[in-house]
Amino acid sequence: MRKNLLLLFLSIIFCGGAFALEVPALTGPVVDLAGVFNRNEEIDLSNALNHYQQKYGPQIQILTIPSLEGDVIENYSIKVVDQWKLGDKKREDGVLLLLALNDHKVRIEVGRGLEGTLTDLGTSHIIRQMTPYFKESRYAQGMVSGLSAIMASLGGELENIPLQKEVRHQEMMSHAFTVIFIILFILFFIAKTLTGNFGTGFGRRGYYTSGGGFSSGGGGGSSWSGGGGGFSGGGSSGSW
Amino acid sequence: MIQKLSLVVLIVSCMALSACGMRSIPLAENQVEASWADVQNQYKRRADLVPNLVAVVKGYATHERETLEAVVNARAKATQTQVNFSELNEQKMKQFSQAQGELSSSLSRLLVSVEKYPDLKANENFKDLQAQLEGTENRITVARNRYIESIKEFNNEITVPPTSWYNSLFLHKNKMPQFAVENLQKVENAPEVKF
Repeated sequence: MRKNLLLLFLSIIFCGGAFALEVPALTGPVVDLAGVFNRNEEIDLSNALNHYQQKYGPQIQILTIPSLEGDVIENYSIKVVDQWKLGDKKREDGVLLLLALNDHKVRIEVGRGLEGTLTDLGTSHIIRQMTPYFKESRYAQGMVSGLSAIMASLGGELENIPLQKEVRHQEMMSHAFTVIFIILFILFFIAKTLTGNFGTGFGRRGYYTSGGGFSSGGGGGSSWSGGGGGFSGGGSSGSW
Repeated sequence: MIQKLSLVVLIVSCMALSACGMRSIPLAENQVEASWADVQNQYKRRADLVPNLVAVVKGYATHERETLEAVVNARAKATQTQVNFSELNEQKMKQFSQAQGELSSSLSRLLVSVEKYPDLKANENFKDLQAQLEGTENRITVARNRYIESIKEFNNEITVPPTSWYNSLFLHKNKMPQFAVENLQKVENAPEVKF
């Protein structure tokens, strides 16, 4: 009997822990835990969001999660932005675009400094424009359409994603080639000074190392982090 | 020798005071004041939306005179019940949350009765107002949570040692009222949902 009680007690404690959905780590402008973007789309979006922040200022963040695990989307999103602190500390210009895939819920959370330009009503209109895509399971398109609408109302524009794709690829390839070249050069130099000769496996190793550099460059860079912006619940939610 | 000693005493007491609430208690109090202002601000925002909402609903929902009147009355009462930070106490807080709670429940009754009017529900103007109202309700929730958090901080400062010692010696501040659930009775007798 006592054992059962203890078990019950323990399970309550552990359940309490399990119900609270954790805030994920801020790894880049696109945190796609639900997997609605393919790799290229994610890279393109990350670059576009990075570029937008550098050019216009506001920090726009995309987060997709598979499930809210019983939480309310407004609750979860304020928890996320309180932890991530998107946007500049003075300008408070962060925006979170949150998609909860299996709950069929979407929310735009607006930082305090942008509440005047991106009103609750404005975000509600943007969400009404996104949900038709979600109904057809075209999540990436829906998110991109919402994103460009957000950028338009903030006075900027989303650099055209599909058209820019090839250009970006070229840019990235040239980056990759530079990295490969430098690494090859360094390895060549080391090999030459140490042993004076190098085997056939050498060129391969150089190639793989540069492959690592390529993917981290595509992920949006390590410079992406919250700047201390505040939120007070502005924005709007919707479902489909 | 005495000079040296007094200098040491001064430094030690400065350090002790800075760790004992000389700074942290007023800081916490200012935080409470700011978050209370935000709570009132968001409630006011909601009150400002109500006349527009009533005007739109009136045009369609001709049989909801009573519900509409209840909303208008509750709004008038809620806007009258403003509580300044300096006069915030348990009783005033109760009055405030009761008035706002009445507006909340009359508004939700109105939004339920609106379900009977498909034309109204399809009206763009109404949809917009509903979106704004939802947004404001969410802001109210956030503001209330921040207030609850800041009150907790402040009450900790003045009741938990070592900062509480400084308070009982010099400041003599009292605990501040926490938010109560609006209209506990109404929550207990929550309306049944029938399909």
